[in-house]
Amino acid sequence: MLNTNGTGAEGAMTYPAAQNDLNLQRKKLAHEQAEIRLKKFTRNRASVFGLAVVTLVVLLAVFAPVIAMHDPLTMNTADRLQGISAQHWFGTDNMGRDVFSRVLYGARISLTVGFTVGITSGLLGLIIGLYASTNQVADNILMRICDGLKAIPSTLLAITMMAVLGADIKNVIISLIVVNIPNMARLARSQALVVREQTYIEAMRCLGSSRKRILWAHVVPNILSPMIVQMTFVFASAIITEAALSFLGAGVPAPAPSWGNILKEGKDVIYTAWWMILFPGIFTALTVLGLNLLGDGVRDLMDPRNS
Amino acid sequence: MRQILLVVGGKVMQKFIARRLLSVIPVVFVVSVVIFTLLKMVPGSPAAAMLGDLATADDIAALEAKMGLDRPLVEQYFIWIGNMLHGDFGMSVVGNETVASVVFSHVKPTISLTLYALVIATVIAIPMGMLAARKKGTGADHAATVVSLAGISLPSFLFGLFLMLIFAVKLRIFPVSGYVEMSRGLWPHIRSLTLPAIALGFMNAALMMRMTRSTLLEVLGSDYIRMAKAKGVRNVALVAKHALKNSLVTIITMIGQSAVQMLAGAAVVESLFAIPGLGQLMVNSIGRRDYYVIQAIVLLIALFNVLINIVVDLLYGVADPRVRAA
Amino acid sequence: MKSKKLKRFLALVLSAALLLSACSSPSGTESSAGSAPAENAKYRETLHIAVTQQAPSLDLHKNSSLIARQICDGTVWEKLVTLNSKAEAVPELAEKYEATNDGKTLTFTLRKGVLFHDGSEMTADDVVASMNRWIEGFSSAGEMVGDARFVKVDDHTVKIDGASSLILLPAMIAGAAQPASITTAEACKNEDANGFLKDYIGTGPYRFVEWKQDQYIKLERFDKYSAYGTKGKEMDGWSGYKAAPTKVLEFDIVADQATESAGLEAGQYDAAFNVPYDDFARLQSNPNLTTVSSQMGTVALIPNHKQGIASKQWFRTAVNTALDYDELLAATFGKGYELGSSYMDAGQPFWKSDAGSESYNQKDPEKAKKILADNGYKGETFTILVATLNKMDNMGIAIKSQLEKIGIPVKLTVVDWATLTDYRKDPAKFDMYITSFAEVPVPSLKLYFGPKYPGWSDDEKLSKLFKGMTSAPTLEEAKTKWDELQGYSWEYLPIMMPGHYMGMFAWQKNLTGVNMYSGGPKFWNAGIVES
Repeated sequence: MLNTNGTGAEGAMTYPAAQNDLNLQRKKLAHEQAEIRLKKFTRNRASVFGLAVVTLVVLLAVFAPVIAMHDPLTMNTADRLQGISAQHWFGTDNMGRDVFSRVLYGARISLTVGFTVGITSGLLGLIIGLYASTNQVADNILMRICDGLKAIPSTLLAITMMAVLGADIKNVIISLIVVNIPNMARLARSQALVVREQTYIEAMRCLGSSRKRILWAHVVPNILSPMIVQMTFVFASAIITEAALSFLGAGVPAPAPSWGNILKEGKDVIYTAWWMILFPGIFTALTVLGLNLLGDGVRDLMDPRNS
Repeated sequence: MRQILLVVGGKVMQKFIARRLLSVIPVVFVVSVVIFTLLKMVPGSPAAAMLGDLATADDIAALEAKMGLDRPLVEQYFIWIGNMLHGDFGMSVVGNETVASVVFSHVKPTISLTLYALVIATVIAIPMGMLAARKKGTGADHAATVVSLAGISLPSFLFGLFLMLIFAVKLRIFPVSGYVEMSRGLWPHIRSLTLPAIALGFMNAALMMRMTRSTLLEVLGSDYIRMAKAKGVRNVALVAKHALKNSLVTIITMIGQSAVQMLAGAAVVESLFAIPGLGQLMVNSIGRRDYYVIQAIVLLIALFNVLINIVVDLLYGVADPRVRAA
Repeated sequence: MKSKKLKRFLALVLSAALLLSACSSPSGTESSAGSAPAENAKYRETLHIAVTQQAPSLDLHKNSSLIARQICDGTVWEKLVTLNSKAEAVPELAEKYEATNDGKTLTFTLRKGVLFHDGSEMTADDVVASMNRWIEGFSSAGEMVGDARFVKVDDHTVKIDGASSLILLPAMIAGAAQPASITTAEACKNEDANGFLKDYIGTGPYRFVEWKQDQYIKLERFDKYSAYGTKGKEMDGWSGYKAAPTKVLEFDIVADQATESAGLEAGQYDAAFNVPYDDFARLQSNPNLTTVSSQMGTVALIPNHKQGIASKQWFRTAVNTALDYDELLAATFGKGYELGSSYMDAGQPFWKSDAGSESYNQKDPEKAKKILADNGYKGETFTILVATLNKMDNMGIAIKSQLEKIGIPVKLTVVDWATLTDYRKDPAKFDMYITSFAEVPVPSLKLYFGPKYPGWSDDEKLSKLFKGMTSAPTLEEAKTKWDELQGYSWEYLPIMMPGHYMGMFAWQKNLTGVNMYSGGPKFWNAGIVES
């Protein structure tokens, strides 16, 4: 029999003409499957909405220098705490800076933090979880460490790490990655274990496929989808955690305009300057909502039971 | 219920429980080492906070020596562990209190707040989750999903601020902030915790609603439910009796995990509403470098976390025999 | 089914609770129920005072936190002498005092029949123990008296013999950041493992009852308080008759300023300390509230005189020339500040000095650039260290923004307060750090005039002028020396002083008798009349 990647298992014979035919059929099938997926996705209105929101925020962040009418760092104490005006669409903050520009540039920071944390914790979690799934000893040690890290309240862990490393956006990212790795590693590990129990993997072992090949060629692709879905959620939660950290004074340091920073300064002047809370608040909530909807949609797509 | 007892009492189960309990030790050890090391890496010491902002470097150094902070780190670690095993958790940096007393007095508000938030979350989430599952695909389901997602997306402190503005300042139904002990009256106690509980509980309500809905859907789609339907059992009884009973395990574990999450995540809400709970204590203690308090809280929460996980695993073990064998 | 019924029941209970609480009145203070004070006016029994900060200890000898003093100084503990409205040291627990021997010897005659909260009578033994403990714990006092200590002359007389003039000591006793509180000799010996007092026993009109960490500090009227002065007469500064019409003072610890002012407006608190500057205007226009704003201290930008770019005089001069202090203060405090080149605050009018004011707030970036160019400034990075406490990091941001406009690249290191106290020990870590100092009664309590305090102002002329001030035999001569010292300081720049920050306090209009002399409200004669 032919094995799934079509290059011919050790010892089996291949027939060139039939092979080409088969490849063509396979491509057509993949194409059709992708089309079905896309249709399914677009039918899910919530996911489309999510994608739209996220895209909008990303665009606003990328084109912030063009759209923003003021420099987000320029202070003007004479203009402190002014309300919404033609000059300042979202008003000014406690140091006279334009809130609209700060929210746009803040999108850059929040999205960067969220994205980097999501991807990195996903990758590192994947590697750790995979390794743990192959090696009993490593599994015990690594999972105990992960349990230990998870047992420490994430807010506290993040604040303490920030106090050690110093206030800096890269340290916020590092702290949040550390906080999120245990869950990612656990997910990767448990998914990997599930896949490895499958019959076809057993079959391949019997046929003599190397462990390494099985791991990278089969296990990984199959656990990628739940990992990606989870990474989307980590992206969203990292945005919220960064906001909470900044709100407590332990996040991205001033004068950088992260949404959490603006909220923190806005809280102190909530009666006089509600716009400092409203706008970054709406942006944060919408972005996180969009990411959650998107993640949900992707997960529904990948779930074979929902066909 | 009888089934659960039968399973728990069994030999396999006992070995399972014993193994899980034993695994607590390495986890707690890891936690203690991590938090101790991390705190020692933070610059500054409690002496600075204790003496106020006009203290000189000499004053601070003298106090640090008195507190034993100049001894080698490993020695300090074992002193701490040793004392703890004797029941001595150290002294807090603030006001002459033992760590045990400080933590105890701060645990009560957090427990009240968490319980209250859990009740609110459950009361909102489970009926709505059931409704959404029953009416899957309809407008009600989609609306419920969006509302729950909004709940997850709205940071608790933001929601708390809005609640405070509307219900405390404008409408004056609830106090703006502060905590009234139960000993001063049950109603004032509950009133002082309502807004923070709603702020805290709403996010978890959203999460729980989604989980309830998806678990119920899973169960509703399973074969034996279809069998019951085929046998002619009416719809309401169906959902309520069979689906809920079987999703109960998942729902209980979900409540347990929410509890742990809330316990640890209440820090921001507590700061906002001036609730002198564990979360606020954690945050303040970092600023004060109150090492012993932070370490004690972390161990406490870690222990609680681990125990909840064991109970969760136990319940899964009851539900799914394959897990026990693993 | 069971769980559904349970949920319905819970929902019912909760909505009933909500309804009930909506119907009851908003929580406020309890009304008095019985214990009538001596006057014909009946006062509310408890005052709820919201504060945003919490001191780590109420041991005033060892701890310089402002909030500890605001709550306890003069209220729980009293001192030998206290400040009157002119910031002079006038007798409180002492009956009188005199300086002899060129000011080197101070003799205090104690009042008789003064009782402590534990019932015992105050004698010279208690005073000697307390004063010497104060000296040991407060390095500025230690520096002033050297090895001299208080000794008992007889049961109601104590004295101290210094090697040099102690003419500034009474003012220090009366108003230092670490107050010279008088407690019992036994309490002085009863310290905890860290050397802090375990029992809070004083002679003041209120005794310490309870401190629930992060919740409140409760004080209750001491019925056997030995008052001095004339009953019914208004107090002169902190000195005078304390009638204590309110029975219980409860200082509620509220972490968040916004909730504090909200609570005040909702009637939940009778008074609030440190309301945020941006809420002040709103509170001022509220007809139910009294608002007061007073200078609380100065901001200090302390350059590193030991090493680095700031150790060069010309660089410091350039920075001082360039900075727009008005903008710096506005960025940090909103409207809660006052400009002024006098190092001492408005509460100490005797020490007010305009020396050096021509160097103050020049806001001349062109002149600064010229100074930099003339001295060969190569664009070295200027590292500024600041803590997030009290939002001082905003000042760092504002300075950075201003200095970068004249071509000085600034690296801003933002840390929390505990980290700052650690980092500022190391001259390699900063070129300048930002801090603030609460007001002090005498300029000798300014800590930055010597080579030891971080900033390391090791300058011969500066030290000579400082010594001249502290060894002056009379107050007038000390003032003259101070003028010289301040004038020179605006040249040498041991610190750069942008101005004074205000403390803003508010309380319900029906709360009368609040003493706002200095450093915050005192409630010795305050209360809400109920009938």
